Amino acid sequence: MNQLPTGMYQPGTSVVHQMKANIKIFCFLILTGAVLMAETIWGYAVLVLFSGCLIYFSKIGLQTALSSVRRLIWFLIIIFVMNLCFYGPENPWIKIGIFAPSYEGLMQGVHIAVRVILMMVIGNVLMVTTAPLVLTEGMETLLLPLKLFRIPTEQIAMILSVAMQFIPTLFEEADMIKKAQIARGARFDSKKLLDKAGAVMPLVVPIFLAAFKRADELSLAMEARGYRTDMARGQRKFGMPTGFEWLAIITCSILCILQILCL
Amino acid sequence: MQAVIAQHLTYSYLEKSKNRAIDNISFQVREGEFWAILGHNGCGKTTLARHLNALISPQKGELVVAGLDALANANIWKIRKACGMVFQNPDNQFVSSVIDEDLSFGLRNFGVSEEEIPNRVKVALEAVGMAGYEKRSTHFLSGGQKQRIAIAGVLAVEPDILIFDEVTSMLDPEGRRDVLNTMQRLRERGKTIIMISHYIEEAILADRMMLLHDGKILGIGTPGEILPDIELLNRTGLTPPMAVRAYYDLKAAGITLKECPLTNEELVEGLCQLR
Repeated sequence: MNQLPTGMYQPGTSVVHQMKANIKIFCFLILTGAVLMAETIWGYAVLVLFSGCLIYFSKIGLQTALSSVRRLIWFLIIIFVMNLCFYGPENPWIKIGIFAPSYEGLMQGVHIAVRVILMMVIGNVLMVTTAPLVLTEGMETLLLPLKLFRIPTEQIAMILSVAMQFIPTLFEEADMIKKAQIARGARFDSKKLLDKAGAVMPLVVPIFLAAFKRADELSLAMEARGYRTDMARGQRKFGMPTGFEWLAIITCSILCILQILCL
Repeated sequence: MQAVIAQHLTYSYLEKSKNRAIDNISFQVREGEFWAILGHNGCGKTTLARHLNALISPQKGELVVAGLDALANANIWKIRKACGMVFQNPDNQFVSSVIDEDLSFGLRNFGVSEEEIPNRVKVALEAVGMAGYEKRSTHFLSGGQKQRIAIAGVLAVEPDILIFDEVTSMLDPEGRRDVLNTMQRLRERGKTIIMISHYIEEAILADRMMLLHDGKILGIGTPGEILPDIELLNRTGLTPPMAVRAYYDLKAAGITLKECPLTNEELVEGLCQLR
């Protein structure tokens, strides 16, 4: 194995790597808000530019940043086609059965696809530049106010962190199961979308079983290593944001406000 | 002093079932000893190991680990600190893909101070021969290296007893050698080691070995006492080591060595003495 799987942490010394995890997650949430509120082409252009800067400053490379997009290209195509064909049936270009592609559908498809791509890229930068357990502690810090309502924030953060860490592993496992099934005669090369979807179904059960087995073994190993839910773990202290971190928060906030004003 | 004292230990996964995973097991492990527990799949090895790490509480009988009564709920976390456990699949033990992060997981759970953690991580990595790997990703390691990192993760907490639950079963020969050498080094440092395995050749490293079959102990003794007993091994469903089989084959052919060899080296030595 000579390449890290998609979304797996890559140690580095870039300014984005050095940012505190809680600040990075906070900025990620603001940016997600900005992406969801973007409506105009200029809004998207600013966000694309900002994402480019983010990739540049994080020094992770365009290929790594876009790796999750490449993996989910079929998902993106499906949501684009569904929006194109089913979104605006009032003024369709042409109507064939239930399919009614329209200009509104086309625009909606582009909107959704660009939003998903932007969120994937920003999320990937967060994951690749933040070590998993630091990410957990960052989430814990941000979720701290929920403790007032007796919500188990540590457990939620740990579950999210472990789940995110296992996503690349599950992708690899899916790939392995797929290859094993190809070796036994399964076909995934059909050009028909329905056939492709049908071929994916037999992958689902083994992937779920593998995920449950992994979860079971990991929980045992965590318990054996002293993890307990009824007591707080030792934790590193994040401290006050640095000058660069303030700059990042302000820039992300301005981006979000700009998107709101453009609405 | 005894590291483990088990008296009439019994456990069933279905409480009222007559099918017992371990059945009336009694044994004592002295501090600093290296034990090998062997048996075929489903004989109760892992259930026993999980008792020793307090992942399972005894249903019947008594169990004292590192001087702590395993029946007392208050001792569960103390036992887990005193008795570390390494599992079969290293990939399913890592909480973080970054090595120093993963090693610090157990330390934070047991409340080790932030200042002390880097030093503990360094010492644990040195102990398994992986010094300098702190910032590396587990993804690029071989199976044997991954398992050594998993051992370091347990070792960082500084347990007195280490349980290895079939840790070599998913490794290639080189990985197995790596991990077995690590176990030997830990034993030389005075750790009590309990190795669960179904590779009979690995038991040769142990001071004492236990054979389990259907949840019951079929034999306890030194490798020199147990391994030449082909009948006992057959009853346990284990194949004797190659050197032992060769010894009996030679005996059947009229060639008797002075004593039964356990390793190939001992077999060669025994044959040389015949010249």
